Amino acid sequence: MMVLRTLGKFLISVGVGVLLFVAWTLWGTGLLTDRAQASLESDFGRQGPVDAREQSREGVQSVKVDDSFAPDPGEAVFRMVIPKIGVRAMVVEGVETEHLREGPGHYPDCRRGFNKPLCTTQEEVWPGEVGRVIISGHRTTYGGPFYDIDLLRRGDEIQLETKWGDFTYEVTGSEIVPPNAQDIATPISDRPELVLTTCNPRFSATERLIVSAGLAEASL
Amino acid sequence: MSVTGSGDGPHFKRRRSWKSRLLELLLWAAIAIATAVVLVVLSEQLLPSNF
Repeated sequence: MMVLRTLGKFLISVGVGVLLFVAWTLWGTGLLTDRAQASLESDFGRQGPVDAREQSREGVQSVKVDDSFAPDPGEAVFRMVIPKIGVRAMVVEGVETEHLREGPGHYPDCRRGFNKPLCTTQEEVWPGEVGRVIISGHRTTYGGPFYDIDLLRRGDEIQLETKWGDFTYEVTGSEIVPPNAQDIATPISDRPELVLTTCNPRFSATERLIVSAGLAEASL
Repeated sequence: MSVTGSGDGPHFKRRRSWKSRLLELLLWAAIAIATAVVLVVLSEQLLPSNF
């Protein structure tokens, strides 16, 4: 009787431990991200302007950011605002686990500090430039910045505030792909585009949700 | 000490002190927290990076 009672209490304790783990994963990690975001906001505010020039090719307006702009892994690179789903977050450079704990991550090129396959061998694309700006974010943990990303519809605005200008993209569509799909980094046109990626469905990583957008407005 | 039971005569049951009960509660709380910590550490390696 004594053994059963002790075993019962032990199992209850382990069960409470599992509940604590779930609470930490879903909400506690968000506290870490909130603190990191506050620090990133402060760092971003201290950064100086970045040179960029307007360019027009075959009737497509875009910008070209100075080649010397190559932020370190985890550094704040621009602010992302999605009014429809209440997202306002600093985007960090890099999409590895430790970067996405701080906020949505900008897909980098494979320069020093970034490792394949979580970087592209092509030229890195910045907001306003021709090609695909790719931003990955957590769906449910670490603040879940992309929790409601499935609610975005054609025409919804995604604003990117950078040190070389402000850019407004409009959603053009969304799709669900296998988690190992690698071709999202490949540009499908020579226009400035934006792609948001996250896990799908919520609380699972069996698929990946891709939201595509095109540049609608820019101010340097 | 309390006296319980009836029929076959009194049954004596020793009441545990509040310190003993508190120590036991702390032990189970420690086990719960240790379980959570182990799961958090394991999840760093097991959960998908973009969950």
